[in-house]
Amino acid sequence: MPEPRTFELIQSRIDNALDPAGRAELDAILSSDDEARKLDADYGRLNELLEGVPAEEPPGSMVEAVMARVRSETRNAPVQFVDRRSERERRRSIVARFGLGLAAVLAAAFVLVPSLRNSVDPRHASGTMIEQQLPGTTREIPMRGSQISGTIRVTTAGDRVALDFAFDGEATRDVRAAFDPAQLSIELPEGIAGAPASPFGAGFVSVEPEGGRAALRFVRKGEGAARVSLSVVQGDDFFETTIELPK
Amino acid sequence: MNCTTDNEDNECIRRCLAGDADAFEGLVVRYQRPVFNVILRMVQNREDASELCQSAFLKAYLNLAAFETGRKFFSWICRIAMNDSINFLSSRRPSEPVPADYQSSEANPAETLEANELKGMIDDAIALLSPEHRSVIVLRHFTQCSYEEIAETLHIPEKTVKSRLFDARRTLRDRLVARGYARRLSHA
Repeated sequence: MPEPRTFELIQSRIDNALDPAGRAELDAILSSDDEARKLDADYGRLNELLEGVPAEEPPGSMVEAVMARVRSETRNAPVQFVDRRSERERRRSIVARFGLGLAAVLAAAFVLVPSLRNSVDPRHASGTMIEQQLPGTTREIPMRGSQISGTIRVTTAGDRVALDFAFDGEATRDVRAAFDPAQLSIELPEGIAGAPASPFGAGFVSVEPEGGRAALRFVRKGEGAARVSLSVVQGDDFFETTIELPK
Repeated sequence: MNCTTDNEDNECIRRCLAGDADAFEGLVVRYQRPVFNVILRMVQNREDASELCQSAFLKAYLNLAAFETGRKFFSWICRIAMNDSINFLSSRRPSEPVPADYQSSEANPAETLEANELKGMIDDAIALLSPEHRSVIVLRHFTQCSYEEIAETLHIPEKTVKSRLFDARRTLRDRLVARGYARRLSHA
């Protein structure tokens, strides 16, 4: 059996990644080792076989099909391309102000309402919207990608829908949701300077999780079924899913 | 991809980001063939590959704001295509046979039995590779990506690219020999 180094040299040559010294080393091995020569011939032939598989033509309608989907997507929920840096800073500011405000309210309520002290689960006492749960039906959807890992908790209660994202590990991510404004309205915290009640009326919202957590709140419009298309972006990894919200 | 192509890509992306969705067509026209072939070699079914290819382009469009200029668009969309293909393969039940039905719609009637046999044996052997091994073989041999480009596409170190590629080729070779193709490999 040839040495691992021989395998490496042979394969590097196939990939045109062998420097002159490596080439000389391989030539020396091949001149004195029958097994290495056979191996070299095998890999050379394997390379020919792989290179000999012809490329396939995509379906003739591919360009039209893609562009139709692009235009449809743009028409249903206009894509808002934003300056990511300034948007991120703005969102951080909103989250920070909202977090502080809510923490203050919860702290006051905690002090003023004795029964509340007994009902608060210490694990959920961080005072952020992320831990706020709606009473109602809850289901969990796993998020899996090459880098993305976590769960989405979907809670529906009456006309309210809560999506809580919990990611494993710290990383910069974006959570994007597209929805039909005729079916749902997005609910952002009120009373926060610079954050109007519904700045994303076009049916697209993008939030950046803080501490591996993010939350989206929707209110149904009418009795019909609704859906939210979600896309989570982490580096070049993506996770996509569509959450169906039956009648 | 040369500088001119990269510049053309960046111009298309700039126009898309400025709200001109039609500018995306230039990118689809330029990359539909390699992206389709990457996915096809991964999932080995024309219909699935067509759907995944459309989905990869749509995903790229919807996430164009996340594209870092200075990187190659082809590497970026290949990455999306690879991830989607791997997710697709993962969602397929383990017992489900992998169909190898991507005969070209424009198959040459004079194609020889040997050519079909050759294609079939390569397909069979690649289909049995793990998604990680399959992805490096596909990028190296079907898109002619360098180690560096594969590393950029898959977000893994070049060293890992080499080791996966070497392992994958070794597995392919062993598998082909074990299946009785030693004649082709050893006496070519």
